[in-house]
Amino acid sequence: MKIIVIACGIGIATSTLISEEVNLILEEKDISAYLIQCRISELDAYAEEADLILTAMDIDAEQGQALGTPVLTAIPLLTDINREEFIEKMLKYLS
Amino acid sequence: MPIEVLMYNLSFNLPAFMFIQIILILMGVCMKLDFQKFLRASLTVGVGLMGVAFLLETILHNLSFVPDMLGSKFQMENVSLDIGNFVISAVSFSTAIGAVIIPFIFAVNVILVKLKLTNTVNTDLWNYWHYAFTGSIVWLSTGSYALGLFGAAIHLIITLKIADVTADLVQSELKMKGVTISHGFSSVFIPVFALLDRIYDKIPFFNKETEPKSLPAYWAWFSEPTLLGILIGLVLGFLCNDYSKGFMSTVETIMFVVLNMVALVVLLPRICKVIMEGLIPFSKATKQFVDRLFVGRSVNICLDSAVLVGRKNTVHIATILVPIYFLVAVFVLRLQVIPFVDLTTLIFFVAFATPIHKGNARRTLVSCLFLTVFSLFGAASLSPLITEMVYTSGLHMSTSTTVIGVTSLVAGGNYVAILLHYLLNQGVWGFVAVILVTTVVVKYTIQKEKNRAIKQDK
Repeated sequence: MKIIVIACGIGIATSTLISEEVNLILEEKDISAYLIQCRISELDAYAEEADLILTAMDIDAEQGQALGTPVLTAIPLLTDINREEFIEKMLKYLS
Repeated sequence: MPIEVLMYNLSFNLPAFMFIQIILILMGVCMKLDFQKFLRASLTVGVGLMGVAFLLETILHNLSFVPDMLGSKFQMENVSLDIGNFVISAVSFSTAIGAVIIPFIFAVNVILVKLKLTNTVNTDLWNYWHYAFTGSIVWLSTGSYALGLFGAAIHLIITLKIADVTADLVQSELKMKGVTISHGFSSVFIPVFALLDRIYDKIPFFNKETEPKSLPAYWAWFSEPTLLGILIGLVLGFLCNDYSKGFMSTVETIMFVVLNMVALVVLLPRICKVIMEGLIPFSKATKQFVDRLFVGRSVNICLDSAVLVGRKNTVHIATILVPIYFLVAVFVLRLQVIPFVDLTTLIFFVAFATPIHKGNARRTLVSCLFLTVFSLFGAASLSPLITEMVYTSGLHMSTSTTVIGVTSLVAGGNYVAILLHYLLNQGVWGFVAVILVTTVVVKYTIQKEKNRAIKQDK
């Protein structure tokens, strides 16, 4: 089962919104994954076990690379702008 | 009329936090949402608020001996504990102002857009708590429910206008169109940071770019919530101990304080997560409603300021600020405020400073120093009102004679609430002053937008 880590400022507010959206999408596509919410400062700790990282914000490119796991900014899920594009990318990483 | 009686009357003799459930159910009916969905969501919000109220009551009761001990041993007066914006947000929704805040603020927003006074629509329902907080503070201090609603509306107008003017900045940071940020707390500091930025331009010290070195592992004691709770709990436990009762009793007291402090910083935010989950279906429905309402008109929708915390310096500076908060609280304020839970959310304080100062670490840090001092003083000054708000909204009044004062750094930094609370208590002149200032802000920002549009067209 895939592990998706969702990071936001405190790991409670925005990441909950994103997590709900991701759950709906995963249900639709019949993919099972385990969602973990965390704070942005804890990403290093969770990066190893994660198959995909979704963040509520853009993070620095070097930080993203240093994590070793693919990172996607999940803002399209919050704004519904470029949503389809984002979902495609996300599903690609989960397959 | 005493506030509690007023709240009970308005909420048909129910505890205050149940009032909002009725309003949410009515909203669900009016917006023609799926019955199962909105009933579930309303009750989720209600039980989340209930959870916060009851857990908080227990913890605050457990810690009620702290002010006495600090007062008698160190002559510290009016000590209040920063219980964090999660609790304050839940409590803000529990008041009679908070119960109606969602339909009220949304209606005011829509009216403003229709009148072409703003281009921003705020559908981030969780963040309505800032407006509910301002409204509740004004209501509590003036005794007028109508003035409370008025205060909330003024706060909204100011954040919407700031959102209009900063839409460009946000959109270029996020590289997308059609969004902005209208956050009751972060947004109101933008003019302050922008002004500071212009001052920094003239000082050579602030024109150097610095690369902050990464912090060693022990800084986690300041940034990780549980560790922070243990640390501060230990310090408080040692300070508030009656050492004459023997070794075991001393150890027990310390462990007890640590446990309660960690509960504040770990459990309460998670219960607030329940409340946020409950609001999600309403948020979504509101967004869809907005899409239908403003077809053909390009409005900016609001994101939470969390989306700006990604820059490298932000997390770094937020961590460095933690010990600074303690130093200021101890040496400048004689610990009138014990900074605690909100220290874990400092990234939101920093979130707007970083883009305005274009990532310059020195400028961001100094601006946040101003914010530190201001939020501590603000938290101390609003503490009596916040304490009253927390203890009367759905909690049983404490039976012990001392209660531990409570406050929040985020709420304390809300200078709109402080100004309104002061001005609207000055009778007619204060009221007129508020209207004048708001009109000036609106006119100034509309003019700024027009100028920008003209420049772009050229």
